[in-house]
Amino acid sequence: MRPGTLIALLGLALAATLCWSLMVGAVPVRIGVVLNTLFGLDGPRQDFIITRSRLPRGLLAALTGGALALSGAIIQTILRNDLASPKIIGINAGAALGVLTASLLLPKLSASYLPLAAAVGAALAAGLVFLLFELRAVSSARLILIGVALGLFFEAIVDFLLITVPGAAVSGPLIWLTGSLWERGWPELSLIWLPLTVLFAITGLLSYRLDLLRLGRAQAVGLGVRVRRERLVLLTLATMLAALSVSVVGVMGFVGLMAPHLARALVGWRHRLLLPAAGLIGAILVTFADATGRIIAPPAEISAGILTAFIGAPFFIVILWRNRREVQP
Amino acid sequence: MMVQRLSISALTGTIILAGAVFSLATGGRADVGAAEIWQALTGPGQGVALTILQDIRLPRSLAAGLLGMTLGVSGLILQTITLNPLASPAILGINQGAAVGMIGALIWPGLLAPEWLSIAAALVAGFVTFAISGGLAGRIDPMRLVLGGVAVGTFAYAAVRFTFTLDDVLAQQVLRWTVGDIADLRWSAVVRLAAIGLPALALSFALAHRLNLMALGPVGSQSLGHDPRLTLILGLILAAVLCGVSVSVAGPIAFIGLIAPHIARRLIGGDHRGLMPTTALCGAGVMLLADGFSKWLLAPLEAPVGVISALIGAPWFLWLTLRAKELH
Amino acid sequence: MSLSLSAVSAGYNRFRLRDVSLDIPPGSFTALIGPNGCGKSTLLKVILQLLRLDQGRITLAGQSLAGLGPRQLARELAYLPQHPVAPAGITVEELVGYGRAPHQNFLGRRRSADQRLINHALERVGIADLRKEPVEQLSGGQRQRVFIALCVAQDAPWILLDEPTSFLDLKHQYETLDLLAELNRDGKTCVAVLHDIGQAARYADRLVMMQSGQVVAQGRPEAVITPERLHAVYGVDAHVYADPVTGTRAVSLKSNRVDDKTYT
Repeated sequence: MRPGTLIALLGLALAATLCWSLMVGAVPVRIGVVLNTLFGLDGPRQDFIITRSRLPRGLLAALTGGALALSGAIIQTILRNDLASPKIIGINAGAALGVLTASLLLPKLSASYLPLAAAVGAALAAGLVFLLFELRAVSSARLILIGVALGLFFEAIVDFLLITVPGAAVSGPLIWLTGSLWERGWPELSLIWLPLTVLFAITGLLSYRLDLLRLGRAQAVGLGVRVRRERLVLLTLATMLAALSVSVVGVMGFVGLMAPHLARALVGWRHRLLLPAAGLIGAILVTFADATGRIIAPPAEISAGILTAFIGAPFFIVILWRNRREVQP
Repeated sequence: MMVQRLSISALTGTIILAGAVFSLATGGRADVGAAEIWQALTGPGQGVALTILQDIRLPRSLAAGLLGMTLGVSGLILQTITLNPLASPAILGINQGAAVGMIGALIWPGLLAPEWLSIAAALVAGFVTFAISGGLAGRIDPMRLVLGGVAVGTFAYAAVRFTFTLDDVLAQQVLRWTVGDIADLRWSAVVRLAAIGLPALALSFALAHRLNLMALGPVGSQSLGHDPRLTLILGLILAAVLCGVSVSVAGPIAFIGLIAPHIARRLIGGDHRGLMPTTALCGAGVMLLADGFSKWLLAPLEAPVGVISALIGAPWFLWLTLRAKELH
Repeated sequence: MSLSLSAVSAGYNRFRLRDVSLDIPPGSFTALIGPNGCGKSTLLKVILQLLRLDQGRITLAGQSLAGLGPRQLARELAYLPQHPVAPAGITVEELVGYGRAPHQNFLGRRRSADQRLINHALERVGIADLRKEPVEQLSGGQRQRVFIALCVAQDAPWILLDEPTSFLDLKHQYETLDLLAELNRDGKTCVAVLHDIGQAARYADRLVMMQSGQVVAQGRPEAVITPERLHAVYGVDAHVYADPVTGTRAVSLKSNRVDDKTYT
């Protein structure tokens, strides 16, 4: 099947998943009612559930899933390691730390500033990793270890704060940290849809640069690529994509890892195709996880972040198992 | 040579002694300090100090020491069988796996004794990480190992975090424990720890010679008639047992398994016959110091010892990462 | 039109270049030889701006390379690194196509001129019938040809190669060298790091012998390869003679005694 067709199919799958996510939940809504509500047709509607709650939530899931997937694709290319992900460069832990620090230091701060705190925390963590990368010119394998180490360190600080600071101040961030779309709606969506869209566009334009970087530093320089500069720009993009995502929905495990892998299996490695495919797959994954989390044990909701980890980790393990005889470059 | 041996022993002994003192002397009751403890230990002693010493601090400190030994040796075994100085039970997801086992025991109390469930889960986690990094073929890719460990650990942790959503009370209970906490350990815990941990330690010491061969690398050691796969499996099982019993008693405590072998190596070198006991002692010392810190740092509040160990251990890991030679 | 280095110092640790001065005339086939760690690869990397120049100047046709941007440099110098990377799943034609990158815009849009040059490169190197094959499934020799085709597609007058034959079997080593000789006859200036002295003497018209980060000799193979120099640089006792097949310099060891004073 031609890659273009596959991508179109993925687009359809996303639309279908979004539609499904509008239908399911504590209150099931039939497709007819959904369509009536969305398009303002005559007939029974469910304005509150659909328009105020599930629609922004579904859109947010799709956007953040796509952002995480793109971030993962960029990172895997730049680090030339198919097992890398945004988590690996400390973004998740940094965001968590940012949110926690902000809510502890400035308890009077309104919750709408938390995304900013998360984004700043994520950016700082990633920035620290890059700084070490540049200063010591370490290999990409080493970079991954540094990211893991920093992630562990930040997680330790988060745990420290969670435990030593009394009670209620932290239970909110705690739940939030597990990655969830619960109670996220138009406010969160309006915060990030524009920056994310811009970032998506910029990433798409840089497809060819990513292709070239995949040839390795030596060959890329030989072809006239300003490797250092372009790597930095792309890593910054990846960080912003992931940070923005984490800032509104928390930590979604494995999306940034799984989506590029699946995309690569479907359409190959050329970024003009890989990026859209990965983005769509990521969007589908998170939307699906969020919707599924609502129907497992209603009215309780299981966070999308936990579900993506439950699906993602075994998937990842299977990939590793099947590739175990491969040697990483 | 003798002078070296003596100074190493002296150094190790000092660390442990300092740790023991620190650990025993600090605690919730500020009126029971070093002096009172000393009196209770040496003299006939009575009253509050003696009770606190006997019922609370002694078992707790003893547990800390034992935990240091089991975790330290577990880390050493893992570092040797993976030929990777950055390995530890937490990095390979074994810690987190054991945590899942414990949570399972909390949720389904009748299934198996918590220690065994924890050990079983630790074994599964370790096995998965090993399998996906090529361990079953006898050759482990270091990068896969780290990333596989991250995957297994994250999955296990998601399972643990999942329990937060089930029940608020459970969440509060679990949270403190999930970072490693020995505040409530009494003699029963010490007995559980010793009953499984000490035999496991003894068996590990017996593995020392095979581990020496393992460190030569799979090809080098095979030419000497050594079967790396057998050592790998034995080592993994022992590491999982040591880790599992530790987690079942105190929750997953990170980084002791990383730090202790490194300190011991600096002191005594790479021969496992000496390295193992030294690692055990260094682990005990570090844990005791960490325990003391956890009580002293934010007195009268206690920071769980697992958090302290992570706060020290993670930068250490970072530093090791930056300066280590290439992982091959 | 020469590539000239004057008083160049660069590199790090064991691989430092010290005060290297060198002239490589256009149209030549120059081989860089010397023991491990002598700085041959470092020399190429400094020219290509993969490593920072600490001291000295490098000029091409009188113009300092430092003033050239990376793309301009890539239009003059093509590079085949020591361990070239073929991304998983890439086809021969796609990989060779990247050779056009220095001439294409930011987005990598391919024009008809680009396609013509890619086709030409594939044919010139003799792999046109492999164009749709995944590179990772090719043999070592074929893979090396693909990367050379990439350099040809780059359409640069100079080609710099870092140990192009080191990981190939005998037959493919000579195939590769023959290909480079043909490209040299086409007009490309070739500068190759080679580790086999006999091969270097056979194919190159100029040799540059290095030791410990310095150039100890440069010139025609007959002038550069002498028993005294081999003793001084490689620490071996060798007999130098004319190869019975080609007449070029060949080396046979009399004694492998390593003299610690001269061999570093």
